[in-house]
Amino acid sequence: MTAVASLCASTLISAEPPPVVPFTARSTVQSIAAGDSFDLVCTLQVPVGWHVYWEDPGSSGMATSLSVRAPEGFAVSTPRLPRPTTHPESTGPVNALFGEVPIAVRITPPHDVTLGADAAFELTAHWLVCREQCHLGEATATVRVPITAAPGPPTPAAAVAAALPPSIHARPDTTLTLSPHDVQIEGPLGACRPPAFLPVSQPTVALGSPALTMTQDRFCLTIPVAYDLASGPPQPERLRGLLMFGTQGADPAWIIDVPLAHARARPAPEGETP
Amino acid sequence: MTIRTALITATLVSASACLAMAGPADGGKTPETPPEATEKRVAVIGHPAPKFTLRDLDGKTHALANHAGKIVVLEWFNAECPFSGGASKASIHASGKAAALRANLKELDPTIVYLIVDSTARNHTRESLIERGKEARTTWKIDVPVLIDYDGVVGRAYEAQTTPHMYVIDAKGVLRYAGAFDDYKKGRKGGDATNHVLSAVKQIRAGEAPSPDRRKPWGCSVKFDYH
Repeated sequence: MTAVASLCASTLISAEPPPVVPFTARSTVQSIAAGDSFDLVCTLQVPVGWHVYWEDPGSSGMATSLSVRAPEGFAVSTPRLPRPTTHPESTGPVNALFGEVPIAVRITPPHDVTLGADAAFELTAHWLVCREQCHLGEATATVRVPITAAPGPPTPAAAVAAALPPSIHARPDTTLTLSPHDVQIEGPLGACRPPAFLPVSQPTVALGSPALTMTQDRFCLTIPVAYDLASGPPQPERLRGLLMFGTQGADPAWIIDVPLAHARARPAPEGETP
Repeated sequence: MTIRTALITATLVSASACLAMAGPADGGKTPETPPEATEKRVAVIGHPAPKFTLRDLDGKTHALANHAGKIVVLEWFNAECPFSGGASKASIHASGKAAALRANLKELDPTIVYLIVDSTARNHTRESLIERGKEARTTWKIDVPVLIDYDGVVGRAYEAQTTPHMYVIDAKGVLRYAGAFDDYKKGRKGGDATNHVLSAVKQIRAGEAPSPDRRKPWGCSVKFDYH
């Protein structure tokens, strides 16, 4: 009897079915033209009480990822995710995304596209959705966009893509200075403060605690950088993350994604001349 | 935005700067004992691993101290986490990766002790956790002890973050590796997902300090109780 009761308790207490996470994908333009970049936007509808993870999940979790299968010749950029919210987990803070989670990816058609045809894009997302328990999710959607001589008008998805953090390149008054031991980000301060940098961690790059200085209208964020080259396979080290202002999820943020070129100057193995 | 790059030309990033920031990647030296390591009895690489005594799924007691002289591998576990004991292709148990690691370790050194620790408390009573653990043990043919840490005392002492989260303790009882099970991202992309535990054990047996001695662990958060 005890065993039966325990088994029932197990079933009743631990069984939590995976939540349904609807997945949709759209184009930001009604039709595309040769060489004119546009965005594909997919959206995960995360149920209330659950969360998925930003591209650096934090102390635990798994990055939400999006892969795109595009026709030959189409360039596909790195996906852009929303600014995450710091969510306390029992094992440390995680970078969580709640509710409607749009992910945009920039597509650039080649110059020799065939007019009148449709370009088909297959978008596949992977995520880990957690509450008291975690469940892996995966979904695929196909977006077909007609190819025309001139790009078509924007769709409602354009506004969704525009609300995602843009590249820091869209903020010309901000300067990024890379040196072997630190990165300095300087620029004007807006109404939202303080500025902060949320990095995407890499095994071979260790970022120290940033030092922040602010004047009335400018900021300087100095982030110590060190390289732990034994910790990962040779790969182009990058500084990637979000420059964020303010503390709320809706406050402004910019994507920083730059190569750490000097990190490639690895010490030569013993006995070899560099 | 303007990007300025200073001192790019032929700059060698020195290993000492790297180590200073990344922590003791060792090289055989044992750093001074930080006060918090002894006072709070937390797990610190290069220092004695926190001692513990836990019961397994069958009620048998296991003490770390009883395995002196042997390499001990600890694996944090959750039967419902899709990376750990859950039914998912990403699960180290469902995929057979955990069993393969145990087999490889046994082949390397039959005396190696492999212990699985379950600190899951949320959504469970102690009894339901044990029942769930038994189901997983049968399903995944787990042939090593699964220790129940329902209060989370051991998990917190080791600062276990994820399931799986792996630890390697050498024959002297010193913690030598903490972190990821393998290179999950690389494996997912079809590459060779190097098993960091096996690498660490091989280095320890060769008289070397594991390098790297820590890897960011991946997986679900350990579902400690809220207290």
